[in-house]
This record gives sequence, C-alpha cells and structure tokens, in this order.
Amino acid sequence: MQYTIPINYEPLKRDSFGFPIRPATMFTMQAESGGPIIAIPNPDTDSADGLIATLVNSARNGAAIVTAQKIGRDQGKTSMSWNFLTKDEWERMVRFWDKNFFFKFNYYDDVSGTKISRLFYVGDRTRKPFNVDLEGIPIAYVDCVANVVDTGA
Amino acid sequence: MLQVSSNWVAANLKQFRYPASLHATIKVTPPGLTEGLTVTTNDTESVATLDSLFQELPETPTLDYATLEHNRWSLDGSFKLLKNVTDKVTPYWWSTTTNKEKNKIIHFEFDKAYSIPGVFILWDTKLGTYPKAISLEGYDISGKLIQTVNVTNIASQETTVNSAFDGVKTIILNIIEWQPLRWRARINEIVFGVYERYQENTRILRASTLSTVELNGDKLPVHYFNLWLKNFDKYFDPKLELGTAKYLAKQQRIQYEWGFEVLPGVIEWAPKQNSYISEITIPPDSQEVLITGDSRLSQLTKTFIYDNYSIGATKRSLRQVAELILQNSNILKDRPTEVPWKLDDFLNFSFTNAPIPRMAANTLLNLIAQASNGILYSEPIKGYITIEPFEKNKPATHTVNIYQETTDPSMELLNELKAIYLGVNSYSLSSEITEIFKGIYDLKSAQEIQMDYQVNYATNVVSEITNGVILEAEYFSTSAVLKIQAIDINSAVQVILKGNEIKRSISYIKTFEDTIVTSGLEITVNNPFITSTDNFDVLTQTLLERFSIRQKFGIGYKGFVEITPGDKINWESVYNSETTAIVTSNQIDYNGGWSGVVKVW
Repeated sequence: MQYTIPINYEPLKRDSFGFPIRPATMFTMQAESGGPIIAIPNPDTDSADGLIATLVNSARNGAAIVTAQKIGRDQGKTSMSWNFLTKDEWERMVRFWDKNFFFKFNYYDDVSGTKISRLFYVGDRTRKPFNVDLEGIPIAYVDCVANVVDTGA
Repeated sequence: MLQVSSNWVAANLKQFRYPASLHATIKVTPPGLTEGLTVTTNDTESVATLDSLFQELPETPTLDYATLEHNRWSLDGSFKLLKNVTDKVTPYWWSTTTNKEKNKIIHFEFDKAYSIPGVFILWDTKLGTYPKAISLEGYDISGKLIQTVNVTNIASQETTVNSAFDGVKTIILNIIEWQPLRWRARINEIVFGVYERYQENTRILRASTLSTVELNGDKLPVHYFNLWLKNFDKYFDPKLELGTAKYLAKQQRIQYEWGFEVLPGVIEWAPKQNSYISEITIPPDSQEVLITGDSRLSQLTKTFIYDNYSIGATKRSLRQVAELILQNSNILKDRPTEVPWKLDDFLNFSFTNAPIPRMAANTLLNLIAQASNGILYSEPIKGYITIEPFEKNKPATHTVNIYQETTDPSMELLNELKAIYLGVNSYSLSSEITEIFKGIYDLKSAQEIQMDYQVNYATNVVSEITNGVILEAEYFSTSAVLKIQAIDINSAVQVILKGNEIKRSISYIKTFEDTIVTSGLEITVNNPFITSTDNFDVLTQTLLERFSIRQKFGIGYKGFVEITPGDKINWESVYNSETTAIVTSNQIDYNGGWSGVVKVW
C-alpha cells in the first residue's frame, strides 16, 4: 500500500522540551468581543465526538400520537481529548476559557458543509501533569479533556 | 383572528412544526414627554410642520412628494404632487435644500427636565438618504449646556445615539451636511429615547400571552404579555441606577411580533401587536428579568367624574356616553392625535337617561357594552378599545381536534338556567337641598381638590367656604373640582357642598323563567345605564343563547397565536364530537415553540 503524504504536510514541530506540538487545523476560538484567534490542537483521533441536538416541545395528543415543535436550531456539542499536550498548548486554552466562558467557536459543520462560527461555552476541563520540573511546575499534560457546547445563539 | 397566511395555518396543523420566533421592541422614552413639547427650527421655509413629527401618526406606506432635488424625482408615478405651494408635508419634516455652509438646527424644548436614555432618528426612508454628521446638545432647566454628543460618519437611514441625556429641558439637533449634497434634510421619526430590541436568540428566554373576552360583561377582558429576558450579564441593573433599567417605566409601549417557520428556511411574521408596560421585575438575585405588558383597556383606570347631567335632558346614545368617557380618560396614545378606540355604529341606537357613575373608565365601558348587547375587547394589533356587536354567525376559523390537543380538556358545568332578571333604572331629582360634601383642609398654597359627593349623583351644586377663596370651580354630577386658596394659612379651610340629590331606583323584571328547573342559575343584570326596556328582548335572547350552553371547556393544545378571543373554532375531544364554540380565552406559552390553553364556551 502506498502511503500518501498530505498536500500541506509539514514536519512535526516541537517545544523547548522537545515535546511534539500537534497540528491545529480543526478548531479555533475567539473572544465574543473579538481579538486574537486561538487555534485548538487537533484532538486524538478517537475523540472529537460531535453531537447534534435537536430540541423540541413534544407531547402526545388526544389520539396518543406524538406531536412536537422544534425549538430553535439544532445545536452542537464537541468533546475533545488529548492524550498529551505541551504546557503551552494546554495552558493557552485554559487561560482563554478562564476569561471567556462564552466564546466564538469555529469548526467544520457537516450539515452546512463548511466551517462556521457559533457562540459556545466550555464545560469541565480535566488534565494530569505529565511531569514536573525542579520547582514543581508541570512541563506537559496528559489525559486532557474539554467539552464545548453550543449556546444556540 | 390575527391575519396570517394560509401557509401559516396549514403549518400549524402539522404533526411536527418548525420553530417559532419572537421579536419584541420596547420604546424606552419617558411617558408624556411629547406633551408640552415645543419645536422650532432655523429653517423657516421648510416644507413641513415640525409639530407633526410628534402629533400625527405616520402613514403606512410613507408617502413622498415630488421635489426638484437633483436625481430625486423619479417619474414612475410613485411620487405625489402637492396640491398647493403652501401645503405642508406631514407628519414628517423636510428642510429647504441643504448646503455645506449652514447647518439645519432644530430646537426641542420640553415642558420640564427629563432623563432620556438616548435619541433615535429615522431619516429619509423613501430613498434612504441621511446626513454626514449630526450633533446633539442638551441644556438643563437653567439653560446651561450639560451634554454634547457628536455623531460622525453616519452610514444608514437610522441613527441611534446611546448616550443618555439626564436632566435636560432642551435638546438642539444640528444636521451637518446632507448626503447627497443640496438635497433636503428629511426626518421621518425622532424618538427621545431608544428602541430596545430583543430576539429569541439573544436576550429573550421565554414569553407568554393571555387574552380573554367576557361574553356577558360581568368582568373586564384582559390582555397580558409577559416577557422573560436573561440578565446573566446584569444588563438590567436591579438598583435601577444604570443602563436601560434606569429608563424603563410603566406605560411604555412594547411591540411584539410572532414568527413561524412555515416551510424549512421560510419564516413568516404575524402583524406586530402593541402592549404597554404594567410591571417591571428585576430581582437582584435572579438571572432573569420579567417585563409585563397589558392593554390600553386594562390601564384605563382613571375614575371618570366629568359628567354634566341634568334631569329631563335629552337622552344620550351609548356612543355619546362612551366617547365622553374616553375623551376624558387617561387612555394611552402613541401620538396626541391618535384616536385609539373603535365604537361601532350600533351604539348610536341604544340610549340612556342615566348619569354616568363615578367609576373607572374601563368599568364604565364594560357596562356600556353590556347595556348595548355588545362586547368590549382590545383589538389585537394596535390595542384599540373596541365595542361592537357580537357576530353570532361568523364562521369558525380554526379546528382544534384531538390531533392538536395535548391534554384532556377541563370542564366547568354551569347550573341550569332558571331565570333572568333585568334591572331598569330610573333617576329622580330630590326637591330638597342637602349637604352632599364637607371637607376641612390645611392649605399653605392654592390647591386643586377633587371632592366626591357623599351621594351617588347631585345637581345644582353650590359651595360654601370658610377661610378660603375659590379660584376655580367645576361641578359635575358625581364630584366637584375646586381650586382653593386659604385666606389665613394658619387656619383650616372648610368647604361644604350642597345640592339636589339625584336618586337612583332600580326595578327588576323577570324576562325569562324555566318553571321546570326547581333550583338553578338566576342571572341578574344590574346595569346603571339601562333606563328603558327597549333592549330587553335582545339582552334576554343573548343571555338565553349563552347560558343554555352549560359547559365551558379549557383545552391544552399546541398553541395557535393567531386565535383571538371572540373567534369561533371547531373543536372535538375525547368527550365530544366536533362542535363549534366561541373562544373566551387564549393563553400561549413560548420557549422557542408554542403551547397553550384555549377556553371555549
């Protein structure tokens, strides 16, 4: 089998500790009010679960048949996990979320077939330190997880 | 029924409906600000009357008149010609042609100092032109300049200035250089306030409406609009000191419109509906704010006292009585020249010899509707107070069957109708002059005082005053309004009113009896405006038809916003096959979709 190299392939970058820096091509985020765009490292290939939620008012009518009305538009939720992130990669994100609970999330929408930006919020974030330096400061993180949820706005 | 398309009605009946939408706009401006407003301009030959910007209601669509500005007059028949050179364009303002050297300046002087959240100006809507820049200067009650706001690089026909002007009595608007140059400056609308606009995907959390009509006039109809807005960001200050919350006030108009995705991607909008703020709730510990609006009718609470009645005078039509009440009421108007009521001509054919009781204006209108065999309600779009005959034979507009119902209906079962008694009033003049009011006041300055008689009605009223001078006096049949000044401000003023009491007596006539019913519903109509038996047949017939239907139902259903009380619907349930009934109440709850409860009789 011939291995195909992606058209825009670049050699893996590394941080000052020599840890590889992930490509960040799938998702970006930006404060509601504008400002710098933060690229999110591509999550693990077995994560980036996407959920499309359709909200409805529903009830059963007098004939016991379900009748419903859709509320608003379909809303997305994306779960991301990274088995390893450099210190900068993870901390850049959590610092952004610390100041911006609501933010503009840019992602590929399979329904529209294009990248779109919507207002999202961030759920719980978890991580473990990979190791620490002499002062006890993590030098990288493992088992990092963050979920972002569509506000519907 | 609200006018909506057949696509809308059809889409509402589907098993699965697409989303609903809601837009709400609050006109945040101090109530009463435009009363006593004086407007002048340095542009003394303008083709417009400045006052009309605030006096008359704008026309829809906006008319435009032909003028000779370069490239403006399009010869497509859409421009009208002024009949005379002295005609004015109302209710808009057009200046003479502009130039770079001299600004157009307009002075707005209020009757007192106001605090306003901003200014909204709608310029030329016909061709979308606007000035390059403007400035607004605010002056306090002493004439001191306290605020200047410059707006440059205007890029649309709407300008919203979000800077507050607090404690201003005069605002001067400078219009600097129109675009295109040498065209006339045009103002279609100017609001001393701002339009706060809310949508379902921004600040609206949920909403509900409740509209009712009373078919036999024993209660007032209602129309409520409740709007819950999110306040996570403390946009609304609970202390009412900052931002929009500082300027929100009762009686401001909320205009809302329902949208519905009738086909995928196709949203239609129902006509905008008016409501007026009655309550504002901004809890300090809550993340949502509740703004409640009700109708002009609900807010028509001022007690009417202005009847000049005399025994033996020509009887009045109920229309004349209703107009007298409305003209002397606190009815809310969007512009001073607005006539926000519709009185059907049928009121011209019902008469009364009665004086008008001292009651709230809305209660009196309800009595008039009852006496004339009509119904009173708030028209659903502009909220005009309407009295008209109930159209018995109108067709049903909707079907609410088991496929639209979401709960089993609740039922109220009335007793069998046993008898109807209608009261007929007569009013007689007492020959004796009696004391009808006595009051003692400590007055430090001239005061206007309303004195309600201790009897229901009186005439030939005279006053006796001790230690005071009556500066002005008006004597009505239920009350007097006197402006009094004390002679010695350190002593009390005593006022005694004397007059001939007008006595009311009522006789009840049994117009219907079902002798088979041993114990049942006995309806008594005690209406002070009924002074003859002329209408007894139709009143009795209406009550018979109404109360012969003993069941009233409440049906939880999908929610159709276009149904208005007074409509007829076909409905069926697990308890009954399809039947036609009158809607007496429609409650709608909105959270992005609709659900509701409709009551029928």
